[in-house]
Amino acid sequence: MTWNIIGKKEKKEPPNTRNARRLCWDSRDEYFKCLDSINVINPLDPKNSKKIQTSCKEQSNQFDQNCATSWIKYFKEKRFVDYKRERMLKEVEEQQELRDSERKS
Amino acid sequence: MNQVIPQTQRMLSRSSSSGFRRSALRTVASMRAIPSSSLLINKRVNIFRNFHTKFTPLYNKKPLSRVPVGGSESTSSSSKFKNSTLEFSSGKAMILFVLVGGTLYYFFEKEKRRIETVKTAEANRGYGKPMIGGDFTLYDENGKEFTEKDLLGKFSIIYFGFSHCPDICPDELDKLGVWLDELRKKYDIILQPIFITCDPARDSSEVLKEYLSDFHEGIIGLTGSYEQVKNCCKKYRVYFSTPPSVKPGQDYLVDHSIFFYLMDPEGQFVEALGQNYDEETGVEKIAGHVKNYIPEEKREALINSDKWYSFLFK
Repeated sequence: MTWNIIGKKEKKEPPNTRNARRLCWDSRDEYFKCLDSINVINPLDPKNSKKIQTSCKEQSNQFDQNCATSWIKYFKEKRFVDYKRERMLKEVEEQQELRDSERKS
Repeated sequence: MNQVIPQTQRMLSRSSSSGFRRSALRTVASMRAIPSSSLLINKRVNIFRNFHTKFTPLYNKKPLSRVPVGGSESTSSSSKFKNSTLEFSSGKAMILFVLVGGTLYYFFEKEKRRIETVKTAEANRGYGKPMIGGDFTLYDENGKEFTEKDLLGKFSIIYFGFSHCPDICPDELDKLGVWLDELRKKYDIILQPIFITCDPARDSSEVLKEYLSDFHEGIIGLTGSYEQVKNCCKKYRVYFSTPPSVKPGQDYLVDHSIFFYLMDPEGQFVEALGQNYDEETGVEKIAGHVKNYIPEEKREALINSDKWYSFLFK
C-alpha cells in the first residue's frame, strides 16, 4: 500500500472502510459548517485561506487528517460547484415567478 | 269577383244544363262545396272495401300467397312472429345477430390484446435501442473468471464504480442494498448484484473483497486488467477517465458515469437506472420490469403462433 505513505507531508491516508468514510464525512460537515459561519464559499480560493486559517483551523486540520487527499480536493471543489448550481437554480426559479406574476397582472 | 263571374259564365255557357251551371257558379264563389264532395268519395271507398272484405272468406288463400297449393296457412301455429310483418328478421335474427356479433367482438379484442403483448415484449428486447452489454471477461473477488455467461438465468444489476470513490459510490451501493432487501421482501425477487471497478490499477480482487464487505451481502466485485475493464465499460457505454499522468502510489479520483444496469436472464440490457431513482422508486421500477418479463420460449411461441386470420390485424 505504497500510495498511503506518499503525500504532501508524508500524510497517512485513512483506510477505505465504512467507519473511516463516516469519520471523513463528519469532519467535512464540521469544516463546512465553520466555513458557513465565516461566509466562505470557495475554500480553494487563495483569498480565503487567511480567513480560514484564523477561524477554522481546527476543523480544517481534522478534515485533512480524516480524509484522503483526493477527497479533500473533491469535496472543496464540490462545495463551490454545488453553491453555484443552487444559486443558478434559485435565479431561474425567481425569474419564473416574476414572469408568472407579470402574466397574472 | 265581377271579372271572374263573367268568365266562368262564358266557359259554362256551352253546357246545356242550367242547374249544373248554377252549382258550378256556387263552387267558384265559395269553396264550401269541396268538403262535402270529398266526404262522398270516402264513403264510396268504404263501401268498396266492405264489399271486398265481405267476399275474402270465400277464398281459401290470398291470391298471391307463398303457401303451395294444397298447403295450409296455419301450419306454424307455435310461431310468435307469424303475424308480424317483419316476421323472422325482428326476433330470432336479432338474437342471432347479438350472439354472433358479441362472439366476434370478444374474439377480436382478445386477439388484439395478444398481439399487443407480443409487440411490447418485442420492443423491450431492445431492437433499435442502443446496444448495451456484450461479452466481457473479468475476475471476481476470489480471482475466479466471470463472463457475460454468468449473467444468464437470473436478473442482474450492474454498477460501475471504484473503491476510492468519495461519496457517490458508497451512497449508491447503500441504496442498492436497500433495493435488494426490499425486492426480496416485497416481491420475492432475487437479483444478482455486480460491482465492476473502473479503477483496476488500485482495485485488485482483494481490495474489492474488503471494500464490498461493508455493503450488502453477495455483491460480486469484478476487476481485471486495464484493457479488460476498458472493453467491458465500452460495451456498457460507461464513460470513465483516470487522470492522465498518475504516478504510482498517487491518490486520485476516477470520473465515471453513474448508472445501475438491469440485465434480464438472457443477459440482455433492460434499463439503466440513474441517481434519480431513490430507495422506493427504484424498487418499483425493477419489480415492474421483472414482472413484465416474458421468457424467451414463451415469447417465441407467441410470435410464431400466427393464425390463419392474422391478416386481419395487419
